[in-house]
Amino acid sequence: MKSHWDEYQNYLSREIIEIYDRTRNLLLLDPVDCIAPYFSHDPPRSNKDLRRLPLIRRGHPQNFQGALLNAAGLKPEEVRKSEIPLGLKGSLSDIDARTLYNGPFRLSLTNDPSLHLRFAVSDPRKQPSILVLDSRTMCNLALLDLTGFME
Amino acid sequence: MDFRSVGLPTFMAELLESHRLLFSTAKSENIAQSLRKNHKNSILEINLDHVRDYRANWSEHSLQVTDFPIYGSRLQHIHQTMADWRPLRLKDVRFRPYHDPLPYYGFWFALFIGFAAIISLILSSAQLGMKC
Repeated sequence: MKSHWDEYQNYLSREIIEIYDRTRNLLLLDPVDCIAPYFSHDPPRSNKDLRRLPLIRRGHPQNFQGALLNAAGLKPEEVRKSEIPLGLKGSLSDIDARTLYNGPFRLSLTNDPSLHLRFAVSDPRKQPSILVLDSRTMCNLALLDLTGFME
Repeated sequence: MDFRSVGLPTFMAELLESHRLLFSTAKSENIAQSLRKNHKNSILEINLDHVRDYRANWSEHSLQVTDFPIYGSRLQHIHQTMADWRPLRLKDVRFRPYHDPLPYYGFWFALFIGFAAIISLILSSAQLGMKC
């Protein structure tokens, strides 16, 4: 009985570690390209490279919801708003790439979800640039969304 | 550990809608290409097939701020910055403001009139010089 339990425990531990690794990788937007290698064209990253990733650099969140928000690039105060504030009304028809490029603003790509639709902090002598999340990171976030935890 | 969900059912839809908002116009192909060139050392790119597919199958209506409960404040900030932008330096005068373009056209019209007046003055002086 004891040997059966040990065997079962070992098996269970391996499975739990595997689930933990997969979930952690998913929450960190798949930095080791283990979940969505299809979307990656980069060479595999070393641990040294991983430390440079913005989502890994951040401090560990306090709870699972914090980890989800961290991976999604959202701050708790952005999510806490239950409804649109009164000032936020109107059409967004003039926010498109063509209109932006007809004026002083430019677009730039980012793989950090927290910077999506934010202005890039850059040289003030250059034109202001709005950061947009790239398609690959968006596909990784779609995987996160498919877990059902974002609902 | 608390494994409850976050309560953001619109999260993915808003991300896709934001791409649709930015890259649905005819010029988007060129802009996406120029963005790819700017990031040629990385794999960052905008896949317009995703945007077209999403627009064709999932989203047809014109977008309002109220469609973005999560990203609405960021879009509103962009909208406000676009509305507030004014040329502050000489090199900025080449850009037309997004809202209220009258001063921009007024500046270039005044510059054109001034330039034409100077040319006219030079020509008149030259003509007068030739007569004398």
